[in-house]
Amino acid sequence: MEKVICSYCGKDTVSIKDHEIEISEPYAESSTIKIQERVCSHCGFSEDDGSNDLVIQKELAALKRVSMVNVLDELNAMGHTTASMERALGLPARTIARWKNERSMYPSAAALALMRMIRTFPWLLAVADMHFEGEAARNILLQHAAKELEDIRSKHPDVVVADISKPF
Amino acid sequence: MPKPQPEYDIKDFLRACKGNGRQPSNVVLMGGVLETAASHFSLKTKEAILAFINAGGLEDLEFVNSIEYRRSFEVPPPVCDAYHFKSGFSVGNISFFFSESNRKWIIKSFHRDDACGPTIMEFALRKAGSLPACFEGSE
Repeated sequence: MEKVICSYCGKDTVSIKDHEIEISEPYAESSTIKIQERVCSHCGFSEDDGSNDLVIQKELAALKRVSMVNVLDELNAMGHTTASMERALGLPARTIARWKNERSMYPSAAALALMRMIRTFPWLLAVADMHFEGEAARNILLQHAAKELEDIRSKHPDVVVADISKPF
Repeated sequence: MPKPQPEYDIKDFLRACKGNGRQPSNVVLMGGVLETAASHFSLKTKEAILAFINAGGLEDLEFVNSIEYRRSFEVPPPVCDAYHFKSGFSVGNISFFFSESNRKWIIKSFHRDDACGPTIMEFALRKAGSLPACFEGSE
């Protein structure tokens, strides 16, 4: 067995301590995993164990898959069909369906970032549908901003909402 | 007393983070660094932290101070350099030292620095009245 040596003092008086951390991904539940910390009884130095990256990466990959499935389920529940999203975003047919359904497939970080942004601001699909044309995009943004402000005003009449008609 | 000048050439530290081909990196994360890097900067592994540094992620590095590593067994103790950096909406703090006895760079801390002033992006968003509530009060 390989001797574990303290990265600070170089002595082999290192013990491995299990340590729980919580990791999370947007639109996925958080998960608690065990990582290892090397603690030296000679100098008291504690350091991250090199094996932790693999454990964390494995769990993150699973959480990212859950996140993608949740995002797509929620967008579908809002009425955005998979085919319409693929069309608006210019993705090859069945791309989003594969992200959702193929368990062996891990969507890329860019794909996940794109779908999280669309889940956060679903009106971006309307912007994409208008070929990202500047004036149309601005109109869609302002329509949705105005609607959000109206919603806030109606739900919280006491809250003062910034007047967007004033210049910055 | 904190030193007014850095103890190390920051380029040496950045070079060490780049690694040397197949050689294992001689940069070590102290216990707790991974957790703050994950929760404050979404950098969840050591590989992600080093890749971020290599990609020039520590923007506008500004030297803060040099303080002796108090829990050291070495005499004299190694000196730890601390820097502020900016990254998008966040201002961070990184501190590190070089352990002569083991020839390794040790990242002692890597976290968001809430005591720092706002970033340029924060100023712009505040001016536009679009600063998210969670960033308010950071001035």
